[in-house]
Amino acid sequence: MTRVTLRVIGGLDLELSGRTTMVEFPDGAAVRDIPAALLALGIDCTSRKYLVALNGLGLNQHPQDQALKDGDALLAIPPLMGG
Amino acid sequence: MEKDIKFQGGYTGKRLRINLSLREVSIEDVDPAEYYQYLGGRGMGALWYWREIGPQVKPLSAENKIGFFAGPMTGAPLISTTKFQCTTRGPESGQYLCSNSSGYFGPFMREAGFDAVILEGVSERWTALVIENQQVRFVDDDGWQGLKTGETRKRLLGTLPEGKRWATMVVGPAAENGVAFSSIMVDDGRAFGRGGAGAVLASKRIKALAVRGDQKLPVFDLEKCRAITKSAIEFLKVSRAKHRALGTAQFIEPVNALGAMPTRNFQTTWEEPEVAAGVIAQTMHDQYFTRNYACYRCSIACGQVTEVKEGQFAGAAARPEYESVGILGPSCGVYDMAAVIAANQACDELGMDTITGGNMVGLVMELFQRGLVTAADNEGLVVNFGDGKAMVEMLHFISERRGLGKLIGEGALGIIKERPLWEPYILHSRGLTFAAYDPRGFHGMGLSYATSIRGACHNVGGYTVYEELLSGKVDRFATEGKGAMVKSLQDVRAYIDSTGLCTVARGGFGLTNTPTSEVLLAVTGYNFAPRLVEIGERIINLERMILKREGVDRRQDTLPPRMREPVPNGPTAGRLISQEMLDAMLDDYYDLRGWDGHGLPKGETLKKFELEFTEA
Repeated sequence: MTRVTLRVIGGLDLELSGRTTMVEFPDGAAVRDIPAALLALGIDCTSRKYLVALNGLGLNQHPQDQALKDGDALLAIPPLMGG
Repeated sequence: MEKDIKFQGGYTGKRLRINLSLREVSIEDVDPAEYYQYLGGRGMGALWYWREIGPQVKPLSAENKIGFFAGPMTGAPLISTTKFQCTTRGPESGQYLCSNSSGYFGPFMREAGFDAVILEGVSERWTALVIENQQVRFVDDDGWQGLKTGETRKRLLGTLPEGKRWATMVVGPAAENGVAFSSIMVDDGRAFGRGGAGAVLASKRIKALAVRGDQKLPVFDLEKCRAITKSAIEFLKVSRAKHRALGTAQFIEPVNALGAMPTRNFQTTWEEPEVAAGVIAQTMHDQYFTRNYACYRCSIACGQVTEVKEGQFAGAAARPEYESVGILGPSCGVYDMAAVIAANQACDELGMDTITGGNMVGLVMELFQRGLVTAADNEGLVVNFGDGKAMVEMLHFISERRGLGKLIGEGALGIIKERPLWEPYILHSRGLTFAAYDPRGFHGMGLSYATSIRGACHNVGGYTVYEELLSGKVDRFATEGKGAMVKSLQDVRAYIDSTGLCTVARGGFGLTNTPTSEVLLAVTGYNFAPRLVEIGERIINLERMILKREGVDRRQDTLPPRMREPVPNGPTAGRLISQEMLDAMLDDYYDLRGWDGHGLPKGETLKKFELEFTEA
């Protein structure tokens, strides 16, 4: 199994909000597998309510077939905008 | 040809001009062809500035003027139609200043019958202007001097007839004392914060303005407006769900987590989450929130009214936004939300921009850290990073021009002129200090700050942060693609600032970089949508020609030295923006804008936007 941390911050209305959780992926999982795993946790990556980053970059800024590895870090935050 | 257009709504077509020296009032007609080209708000302000404020005019001189401009949506029967613009030559940059505020003043100015109010000359006595429908009177009183903004507003309202609500603008002691970044407080919590517009008003001995009226703004299709409003409310319920709950401060935690939070005067970009937790939105909400505040006709109500009930800052109350929390918090090393609220309140009451006020305190803190100043330089007050109480006191010193505040109140450019060795510790572009996003964490923000029309500004310069995380083509550390990103964001922002709509709500109206929205058709009877981005680009080019006239070119599109230092720790450790990286982004940006290598619009670009009149 590959273990990726998921941190949900910015006051999102999610059960996981404010926490850091470990998300397990099967060995060989890739970036493209992240949305489905997050959907199971209540985070819809396509929703206007969230923005998801992997290792500090937007999800779609990684090659989709890039293999996940232990220690990768997901961050779910509200959509950022200037005030 | 549509330049002969007569709009069927959205504009009063009238501008109020008040000559303060002669105490003469005149009402002018506005040529609808100008609205066709420049829309309203910021666009109309820029056109007026080009015509009436020449390059030799100094910001605090009698020759300077200050104008307040509404857009066609200001006060319209939709939602979030609260915004209006202030245009003047600002003391913080010494150049053209465009500033945007919410509140009730803009809509009520329209109910009084005016799309714009212009002030020129200098009043012989300290006065407040009261505008009721098309009548103007002066409330002279030397007792206005020295009053804080809340006291001023209360005293002014106490002199006014009861009945329908009044809207107000006031300045505080900071403006009276010539602080280069003093603000104009609008109603009871909004502001023209950046650039020093407060000092311009005070230089004219204007302490306050009040306005109300009973004219109904003409609207072309009220039923369509209602339908669009309904749809916008539904859209924003989802996309702005957290704005009501937590306000813009909800971004503190994510920006810190991404390693772009200015920390200890931008010496680094991140703090441990356990420490940063002291100033995140959830903390503000759980421990200090009392109620929401909504601007005129706003269904989002993102304003977070907070109050400190106990401790050394008991009694402090403010409505902290992301910027105020970021700069008065982490950038001053302060992780005590109560101190941030107290500092925000001090800025509001004294009438100072929270961003530059906080950045200046951060500068003082770093000067103490490095032993470049001592208590003896500051009337005994030591201001160290993390000391919230000293932070609040330093803000008072700046307003009163005491101790180090005497020089600090001059703003970045004034400080550098007097103390060039302090320049490495001042984070500014063209005189305006940085917003609460460190560009080493989002390189597009570096280009945004360097090219922002009014100096480093995350709004006017283009808010790239979201795009830099969403883009499928480039990431936040790339320099490629940022020229196009910043140009597009700036063009959109320029037209949004000309509509009168709050940017937080614009998604609900489909006002994007490819606008198809019918909202302006519903309000004015003319479908601006296909031309909105072109209008935004016209405004940017006109503003750039104004800046050219004031001596600005590529040499001033810069970032401060600290941006060329690597971030020492955290998620963006090692990141920097070298001059070569900035040059690459500038070259790309200028090329896309149709500007030459010096950052000046080419002849064919001016022709494209019908700005040949700026060539002389």
